[in-house]
Amino acid sequence: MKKYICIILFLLLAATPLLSQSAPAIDENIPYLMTFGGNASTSWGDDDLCQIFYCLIPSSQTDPVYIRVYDPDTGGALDEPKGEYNTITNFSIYAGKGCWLDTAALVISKTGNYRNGYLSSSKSFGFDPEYDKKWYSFGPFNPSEGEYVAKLGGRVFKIIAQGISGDDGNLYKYFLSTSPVENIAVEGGNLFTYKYHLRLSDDQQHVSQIYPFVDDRTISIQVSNFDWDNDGIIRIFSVAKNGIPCDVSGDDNWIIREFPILDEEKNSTVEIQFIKNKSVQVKNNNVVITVRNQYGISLPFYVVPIGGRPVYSPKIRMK
Amino acid sequence: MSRYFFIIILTSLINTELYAQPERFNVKPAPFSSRIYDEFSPVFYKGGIVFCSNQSTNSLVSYVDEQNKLFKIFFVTKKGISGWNFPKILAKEITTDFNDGPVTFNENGNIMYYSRNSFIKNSMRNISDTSNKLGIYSSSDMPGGSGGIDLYYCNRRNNDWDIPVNLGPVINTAKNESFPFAGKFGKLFLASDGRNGFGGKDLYYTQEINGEWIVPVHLDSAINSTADNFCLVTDSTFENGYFSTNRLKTDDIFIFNSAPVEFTNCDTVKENNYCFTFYDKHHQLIDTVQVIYKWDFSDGIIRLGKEVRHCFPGPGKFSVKLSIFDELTGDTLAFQVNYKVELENIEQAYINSYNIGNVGKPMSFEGITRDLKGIMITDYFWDFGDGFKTGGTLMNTTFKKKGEYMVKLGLLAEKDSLRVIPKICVMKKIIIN
Repeated sequence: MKKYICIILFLLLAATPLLSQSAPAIDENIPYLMTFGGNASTSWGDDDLCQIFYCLIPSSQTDPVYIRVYDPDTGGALDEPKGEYNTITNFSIYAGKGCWLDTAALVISKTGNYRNGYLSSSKSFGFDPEYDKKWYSFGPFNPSEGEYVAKLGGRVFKIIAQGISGDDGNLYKYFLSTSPVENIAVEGGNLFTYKYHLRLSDDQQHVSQIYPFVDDRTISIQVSNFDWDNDGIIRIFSVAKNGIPCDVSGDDNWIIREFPILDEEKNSTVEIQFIKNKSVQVKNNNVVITVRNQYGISLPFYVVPIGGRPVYSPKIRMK
Repeated sequence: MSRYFFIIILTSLINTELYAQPERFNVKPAPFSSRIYDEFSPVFYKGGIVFCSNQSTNSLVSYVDEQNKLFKIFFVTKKGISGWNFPKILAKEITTDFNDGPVTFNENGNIMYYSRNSFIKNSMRNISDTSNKLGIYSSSDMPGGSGGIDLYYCNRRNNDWDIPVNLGPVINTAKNESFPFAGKFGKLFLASDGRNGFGGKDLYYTQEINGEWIVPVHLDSAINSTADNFCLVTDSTFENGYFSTNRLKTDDIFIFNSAPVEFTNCDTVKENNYCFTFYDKHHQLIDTVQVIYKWDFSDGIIRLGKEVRHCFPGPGKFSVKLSIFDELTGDTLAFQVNYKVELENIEQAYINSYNIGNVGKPMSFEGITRDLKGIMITDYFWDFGDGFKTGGTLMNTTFKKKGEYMVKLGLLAEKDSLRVIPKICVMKKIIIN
């Protein structure tokens, strides 16, 4: 059975046109990833001051790859100051066995063995104009150094962005590239996380979305959001969900809403959509999102949705 | 030896199935039909029977005139409840030195059609009978038929006769179809030796259903025999009548009476439903979603709503297209998702009528059987509160008292592969005010 699951997932991955490996992806319409300094209050929107992303590199990729970070420093116009900028953020790249574990989905906080694997590269950034609004490239990495995961059909590297000190918000982006100096997508590559720390746009017309993948073991999902701050609506779309509203969290707290998963939704992507509050402008809104299955295991958010964006398929009946 | 044994067993089984059902009719020779002369082609006339016979015109003398066996037209009347007077020549004015008859009358009994020729019975091909229509049915071996003698219908218009129209291959065979009799409720009785009967001429009936003749139905085994059986006339209910047969060597007229047909376990007629509520089952899960559902029923009607009700004109194939729009973003979530609807009527006999009527006012009832698949209905019986009586597809009746009536429609169908006549019965409640 496990074999077939792997085959299905691999086929879905293979069938997905992966044109870009930026995180956040263009289609997600999310401005930046977000990690606050190690001394920041969670009320700013970052519950654990740590963001873990995984780079999936297909087996066909043998040339070196680079993990590029845009605006890795904390300072300048893009980041979110809390007083004077005083924040240091560490970016570490892990490879090798244990980098991605089958239980990785369980690791949704910085407690536990989230730094498994071997440290391949690491760098900390403070208030450094040299990297402000600029790309910094980690690598080169030999794809074979990544942990091979048959279920995912490729090798995995792990990026951990962790606030070491300070209390400002570091806003940044990733790109999985074949070049150290420009963003050239790895064909068939993807980026995914089990806990999405993101910064929403200040534009009240913005609609953003992220894409968790629901496997065939899932019969229900618990969508959790942290520190939504009354910034509009969160909705769920899938082949069988046509924009079901999700409960939203207030300041510095989590809220969980459970949704049943139908058979036709298994092995497909769900869309979590964020619609900004149109009546009251909420600025600098940082949010953390997780989706867990009925066992409490977190489901991955792929920046390039597996199988494409879900298209709602009504089930017409007559009575 | 075993081969013959097998044949004997098989023959025995076939006979058992063939006569498994009780006979619908009792038959016996008519008292006015002699055993030494030929009598045939009875027709109703003024409460009596007109028929052809080669018997002596002198009722006091019985002898066989071998040299002069010409057929003449006789008339016999009833005597008391069950007796008969002696047959007499119907009219000397039309008695000739040729074979006279058979005859038939129009519905009012004031016009008689008859044939006359110089041949004996087997060549009297122009036998005809009135129908409820203006024209007559006749048999003829005129060129252009299916072979042998065929049945024709000849319409009368402005005291003139149209060209006879062959009744077609459903009725006519390569052999002979003759002796038509048009009964009430559209039944046309005929004799044929071109079908799988018992041998010789057998009696059948057919009727027009939905504008087409049904394949002739072989009559009960009591009426048909291995001898020739022909020229059946019956009352309006097909419960009593006469037919001709030579099963006793000479041509004789037999009387038949039907045993009453009973129907039990009548099902209440169910109304066909063409109106449905359409919905999206996925949407049922949570109903606070801000979306617009637009249903296009492909007939010019568009309905908005998460649940909409639509009525189709009747059975058939239809297409419903659903588009869903996001109220918040204006995005199209689903565009013209097609849903095919195929509506069929309930497989049942149906009584088409008003549900409510008035005392003393005629009400019309139509028996609709087109939704019964694979069954050829042969007989209609109606019970308007006074027992089942033979009828047709369309009946008019007048209720004399107020109250609730359970109108029943009983149907007999063509024998199935086991030679069993299927019975179907439906009923409908009628309120008379």
